[in-house]
Amino acid sequence: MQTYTVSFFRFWADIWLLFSTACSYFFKGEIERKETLKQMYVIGVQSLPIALLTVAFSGMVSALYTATASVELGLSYYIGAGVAIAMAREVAPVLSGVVVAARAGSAMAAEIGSMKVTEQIDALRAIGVSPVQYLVLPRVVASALVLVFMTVYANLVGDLGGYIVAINYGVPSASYTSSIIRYLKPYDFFMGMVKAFFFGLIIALVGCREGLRTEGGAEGVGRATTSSVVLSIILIFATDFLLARIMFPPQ
Amino acid sequence: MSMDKAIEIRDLTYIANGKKIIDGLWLEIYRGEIMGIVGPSGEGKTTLLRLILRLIEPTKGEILINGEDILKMDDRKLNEVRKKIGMVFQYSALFDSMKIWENVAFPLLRHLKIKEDEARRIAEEKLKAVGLEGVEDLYPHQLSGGMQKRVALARALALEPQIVLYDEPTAGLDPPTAFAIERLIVDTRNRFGVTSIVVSHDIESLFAICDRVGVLRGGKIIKVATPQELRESDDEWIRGFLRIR
Repeated sequence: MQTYTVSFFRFWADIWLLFSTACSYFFKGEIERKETLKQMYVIGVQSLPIALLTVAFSGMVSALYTATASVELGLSYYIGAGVAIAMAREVAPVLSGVVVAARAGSAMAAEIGSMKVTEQIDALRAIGVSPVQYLVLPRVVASALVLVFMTVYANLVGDLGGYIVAINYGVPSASYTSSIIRYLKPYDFFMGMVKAFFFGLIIALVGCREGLRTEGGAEGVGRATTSSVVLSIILIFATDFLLARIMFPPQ
Repeated sequence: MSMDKAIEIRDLTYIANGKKIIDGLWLEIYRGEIMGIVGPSGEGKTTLLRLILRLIEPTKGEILINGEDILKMDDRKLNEVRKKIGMVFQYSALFDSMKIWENVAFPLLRHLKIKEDEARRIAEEKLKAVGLEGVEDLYPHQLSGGMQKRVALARALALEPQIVLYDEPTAGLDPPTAFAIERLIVDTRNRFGVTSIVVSHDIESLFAICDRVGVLRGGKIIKVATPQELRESDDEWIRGFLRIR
């Protein structure tokens, strides 16, 4: 129990330290532009196809469930809105987050972890370069930005997936789109992007933290990779609940 | 705090996981000398080098570099000092995502206001000085261990440091390559006047290149002497340790 408590506090202390140090470099304008762009490319390329595929299927499933009931009850007009609101508020940011955590977050932990065990992190510091500035900050910025963009695409693809299924269930094409336009508020869409931004921060901070504290060779790198995925996914869902509670309070 | 001391370590102690790795260590290293550190494995030789760069925080003590205690410095000041120190890591620790020339140019591009092609030119020069040509565009994993060591040395020398730290520079190398690295260490001192610390358990190699050798045992430097004096030492433990080799 005691060790769990210690590692819990150590985890948050590390995350806070990484975050505040990264912020101080960010606000001093000491950001590696080239490295950040490279990371954006890597994260985007690694995760976008899978994220879009996942989200498209969940859009289709949402439409499938609602379509059967709605058509019977004569509520088919609302299917588009139902799918789009669920997408915007929840499915697009959360699923994108989970996919990025699994693909890019794990890769960060593995890359930085293997740099740690082969003394490359020490070599950076010995040269007088801060690993937070050179490795962590570009990943944090890239991951947060990419996840926001990805959520925009995920929304489109998810709604499209829902559309295809709804049409097959005899929902008129015009009513699907017009219900989205009528009921989906920009606020829903925007808040989903805010969520995605936070998920991006979490994924990169956790991935880098697990990487930087890696010890014990190849096995340690494996452990860091796994724990980065597990921790980020748990934190994504916990943060999702917190943000939902703040942004969409029950009336 | 006289000017001829490049490094001065006072009463240094480092405790990790409840174990005293370094235990009240004192050591002075003069400018331009090659100081060897020998001692049994696991007695904190590498730890001592990491402490001198403050890659790890000691429990107590003072580490004076050019007369200034690096343990009292903030990150910015510390990084200024680190620029004047080059380190050759035991397993070279080259950045494996970068090409060879980028590895050597990295410190230059980070700390000097120069363009990339200028940095590349200097990097090629440094590589040539350690006997490497035509490997600039390869990646570290495409080189042998001995060549990686040379690249690591070129990278450590890129910023023309005043002090170079070598962690087991000849470990795992075949005898001719080890000999070539030893010559490079001596050449580097002779040409640039750098102060060097060489940590190794290869006693023959150390005795061949060092001006003085410190014997590390139980977290302390128990003896500092010239190779000749050490060979003639009547300390039983030292005689035993040297003869075991």
